[in-house]
Amino acid sequence: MKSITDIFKGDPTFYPSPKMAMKAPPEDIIYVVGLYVGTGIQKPDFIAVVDVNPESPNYSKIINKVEALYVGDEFHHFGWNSCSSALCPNAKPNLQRRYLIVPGLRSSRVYIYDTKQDPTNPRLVKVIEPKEVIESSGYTRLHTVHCGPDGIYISALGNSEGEGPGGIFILDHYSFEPLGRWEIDRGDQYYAYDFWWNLPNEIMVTSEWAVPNTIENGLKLEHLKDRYGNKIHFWDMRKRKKIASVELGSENRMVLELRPLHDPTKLMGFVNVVVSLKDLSSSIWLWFYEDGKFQAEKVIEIPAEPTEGQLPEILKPFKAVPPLVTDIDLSLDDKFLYVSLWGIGELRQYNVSDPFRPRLTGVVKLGGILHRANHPAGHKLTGAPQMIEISRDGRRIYVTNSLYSSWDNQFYPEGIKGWVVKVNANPEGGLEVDKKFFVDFGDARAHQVRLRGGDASSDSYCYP
Amino acid sequence: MLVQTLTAILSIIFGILLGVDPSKGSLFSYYISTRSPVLAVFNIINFTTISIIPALIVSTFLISYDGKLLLTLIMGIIIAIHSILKYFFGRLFHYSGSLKVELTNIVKWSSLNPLISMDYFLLIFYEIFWNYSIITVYFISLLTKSIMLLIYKKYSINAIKVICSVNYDRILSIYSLFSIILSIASFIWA
Repeated sequence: MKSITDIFKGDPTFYPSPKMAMKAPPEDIIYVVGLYVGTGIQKPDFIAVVDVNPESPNYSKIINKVEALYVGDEFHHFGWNSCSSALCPNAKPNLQRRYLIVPGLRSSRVYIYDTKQDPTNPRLVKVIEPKEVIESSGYTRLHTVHCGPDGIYISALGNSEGEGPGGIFILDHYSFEPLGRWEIDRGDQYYAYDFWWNLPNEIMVTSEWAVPNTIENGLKLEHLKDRYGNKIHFWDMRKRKKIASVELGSENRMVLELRPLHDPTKLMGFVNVVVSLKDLSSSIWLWFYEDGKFQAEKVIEIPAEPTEGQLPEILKPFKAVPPLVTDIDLSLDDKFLYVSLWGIGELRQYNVSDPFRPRLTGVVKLGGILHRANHPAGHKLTGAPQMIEISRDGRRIYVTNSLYSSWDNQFYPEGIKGWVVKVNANPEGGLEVDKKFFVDFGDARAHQVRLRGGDASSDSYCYP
Repeated sequence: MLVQTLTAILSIIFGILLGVDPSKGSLFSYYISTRSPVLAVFNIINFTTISIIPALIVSTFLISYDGKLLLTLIMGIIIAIHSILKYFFGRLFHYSGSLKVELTNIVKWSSLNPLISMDYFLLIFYEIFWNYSIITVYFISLLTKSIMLLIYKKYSINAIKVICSVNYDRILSIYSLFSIILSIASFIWA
């Protein structure tokens, strides 16, 4: 039964500006996708509910697991049906952050879970079958989910044959019906991966990985030359038309996570490039709008580390460990950029107060092909930092260790046992691993994390 | 006299509600104020004028209209049905145009939304009962929006969070229904 005040209240987790969202209360639970794809275990993937309240007796424990209906979906990224973008002037009103939208990267199936009645026990309320996604949009292999002001946006890597172009399709905010392909004029855009936007300027930016047929059975070195993307694309969100593309160096491949500044008055953001064909380095680029055009500039370069010890087959010819920067995340005050080095085994913190001149302010070593570092409490860490999620106040960083099932097996052939580690961030700079927090996923692997109430990569804002 | 007094009170409250509702100009102005405080004040005046004054123009043509009573009744029924639908189906009657903060969009935004959400209708409805209603709503709304901008800018950014945590669509739909019933009842009573 709703009280009178509930009827007239909006969702308390929506904030008009990132500055205000930073004052939100700390999260008490987090949702983490767990997957068995690639482990040889024939079980459905699941959403793990983890207690992250330090005062709770269940702190750092999985308090519930909600299984998918089928085996082999490969849960990967996921998101909320609605978020702070609902406060944008043109947003649809009366929405609540209530449903988790969980696509299968391999199956292209979308699960919708309701977290309202019992946040610790998400309830499956709808499944969108791959056939419906293909019929409405032509797309498959679903990746990023963002809650937009006018619908739920989901990116897709390719078409039903596993080739390109990949793109974005939309779900209705209220019924979750697929509305169809988003792009009206895509120009020469072919590869797809991540996307995000600057809402008041109505600019969307998209990035490039590769088509499903290139990536699904593992990384093949001969494909690196010409079957992986190296561009970002800028789109007019109203006309749904590509207006510019910027190539991030002819030698670079795999342009992945897009992190626009949260302050919507600043039309700029960061993106990571996984590998350079020249020297295996990873890089982070700043894209920005200046002098009437979109531009990008490399602001961080992380070199490969030469070594001959304990290299997986795929790296033996190079006699080096590439950093493999596979995820980045930006704090809500746009002050710190967090970077995961999935090859070497580090989580780094850069002060990006001056986005053109980032300064390294913190490093922790976790797992890795190079470091093989264990958790400070003694837990063995397979894999290395991969997905990063930052709490709204910027004090806590949650890190998981799986990249993508078939690639996990190539880079960590000894096997990856899923984990979530929490790293405490000093507001002045500096990182420290929380010794009391270690979530063991056993044989399953862990990928994206979402914080109840929102986090640094879930919400978009229309006000500074 | 009873009807006029009641409509005057309802107009003042409506003006305050329009002024406080962040989606009706004050948040746009807050965004603009990060670039230019002068433009932000201009935006408040602009937004308020476009979202209220067309109702005044229409109502001047209706003052001498003979079938005012019938018109009032029809308008009352339309507003009442709209309010009930809006309350139960929040996604309805909402303009979702461009949010680029530029003059043409502000004009579109501030004219189409009052039309779709029946603000113009309610203003005309009030004006039929009391001739100073729209002007009262205009100045009260302008004043409230200016105060809101001052609060956002000078006193506490947290005020925006508090203001935004309210579902104004619901409040306005209930308020519209309530004021229609009250106005018609007091008219019959008088």
